[in-house]
Amino acid sequence: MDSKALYRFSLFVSGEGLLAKKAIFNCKKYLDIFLQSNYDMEIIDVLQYPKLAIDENIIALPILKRKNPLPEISIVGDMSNLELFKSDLLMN
Amino acid sequence: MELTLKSKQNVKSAYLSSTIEKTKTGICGFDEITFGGLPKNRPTLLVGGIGTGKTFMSMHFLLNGVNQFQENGVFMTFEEKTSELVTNFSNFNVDIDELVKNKKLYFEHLHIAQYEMHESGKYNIDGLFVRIEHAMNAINAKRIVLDSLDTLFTNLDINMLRNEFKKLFFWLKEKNITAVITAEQGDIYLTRLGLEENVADCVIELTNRIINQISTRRLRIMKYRGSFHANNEYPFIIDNEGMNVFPIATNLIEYNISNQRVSSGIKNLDAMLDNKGFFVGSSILISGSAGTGKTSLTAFFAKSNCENNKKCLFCAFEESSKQIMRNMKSIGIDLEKYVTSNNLIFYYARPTLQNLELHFMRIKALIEIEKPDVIILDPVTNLMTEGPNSDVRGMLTRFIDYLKTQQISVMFTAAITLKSVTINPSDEGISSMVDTWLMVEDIVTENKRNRIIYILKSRGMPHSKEVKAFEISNQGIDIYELDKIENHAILENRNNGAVLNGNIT
Repeated sequence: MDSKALYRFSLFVSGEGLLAKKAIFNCKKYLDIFLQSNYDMEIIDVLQYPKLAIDENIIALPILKRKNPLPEISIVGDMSNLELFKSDLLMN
Repeated sequence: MELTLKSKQNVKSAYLSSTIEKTKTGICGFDEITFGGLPKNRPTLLVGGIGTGKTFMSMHFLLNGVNQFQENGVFMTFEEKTSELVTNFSNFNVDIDELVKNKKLYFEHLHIAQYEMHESGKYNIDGLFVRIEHAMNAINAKRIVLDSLDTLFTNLDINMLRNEFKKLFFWLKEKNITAVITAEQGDIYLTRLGLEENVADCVIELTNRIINQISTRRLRIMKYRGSFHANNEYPFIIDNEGMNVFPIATNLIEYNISNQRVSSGIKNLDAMLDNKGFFVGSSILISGSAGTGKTSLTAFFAKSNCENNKKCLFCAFEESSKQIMRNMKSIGIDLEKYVTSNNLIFYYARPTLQNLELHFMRIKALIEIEKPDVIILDPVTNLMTEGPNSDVRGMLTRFIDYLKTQQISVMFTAAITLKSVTINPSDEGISSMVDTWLMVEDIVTENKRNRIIYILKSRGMPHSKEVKAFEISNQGIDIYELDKIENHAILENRNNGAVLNGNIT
């Protein structure tokens, strides 16, 4: 992936359940639509990296965090609501 | 028919096997009323309004776990920053920072930011579980506190909340950890959030009520699955020594009874008591209307104990210690000398200063430090202004029970007379917990007020049944036989109803 991508995201999920799968699928789908390949997204399973859950102050999952551009914006859920996803994450 | 028999047997066996394992909280009084503490490896819900002591109690539970039971504890706070929390508990005689450093305690502040709550679709709070588990593993915790649910779930929608709440409880059960979860009390539902409390195995309610402008904290066990527990509301106090729940543990059957005797300090009064005085460790009531010399009698008792190098704790609720010392000097007792020799300790407090529990707890704390042989409470009726009489009586009964287990003699005065007992039957309740009851009265004959004294009861000894005259002068107290003419005049007046009533109506 392009490390100089303007948009950088971190998607935190727990395990490999339905919620996690949905979130990963939806995020990829929508980001591909809106940003084509001009973004970078890492997927983190907090079950494997619990320390990250503390550092990132995570309670609700799944959560997508926009790391770049600032300010950091977070959005929780399986990302099934396209409109909210778009307005919260990309219009800010 | 067969079925009922069987179910009865089941109930019986359940009772006998005393079912579930418990974790001691180490909170004074609490482990007694729950017969062993909180349900082990299960979550307990602690509900109460603002300022009822939820955070304090849960913190106390953790600190005791570390200090007394070698069980490490995790405190997950959603409200206060951990640094604030540590500061709030810094006057608690423990170095929390040190405990954290030594991996005995683990604090984590879960800050829930509004911005996190941009939502798109379904989500859960697995992040919380991950963090709890991480914290538990970090110090191998056996106890955990979540403070409080309300803040955690403020931003969640109610349907999801119910689900996650249940999940949290079941998850905690699986983790083999004794958990305390605090929640704000609601109006209609038990908790403000209206959660399904039935998932909790144990529910404890804390309240802070104000009666007669004096606030009293109370604790009640609303539910305890699989265990018998005391049902009442119990007063408790919070001070820098920690949390204390009344009753103080007493096992009436087990305490020792003494055959030793202790002098009343007045020779002629001892003579009325089988020539030996009171039993050590007994409770003595001196009652009578105002100005009959009750305090003077207690002063003689104090003096006699101090002279025998015993320790005496004088709890004054009416006069200050200086005033008592001055007044007693006028009848020839120098109490100051015993104060200097540390045989006599004064506790002086205005009854209205604080609630009754606090008075007794403070006295109890003093007892534990000073270890007195004798306690004087002068007068207990002054405490009656605080709250309903039944409260005072219950409290006094528990307190006397406690003193008996410690083999401490207690002498207390009360402004009650035989007549006021008939007006106010609860006064009689006081007398039933008394071993020796002395009555002093004031009888007005033609030109003189005469004091008389007699023994209403004295358990376990042959005692005088005479009514004797009783004189207080700068030489001290003199008790002597009434002469015939005086006797006649006094009894006549007495029967005419000249007895002054006490100030209790």
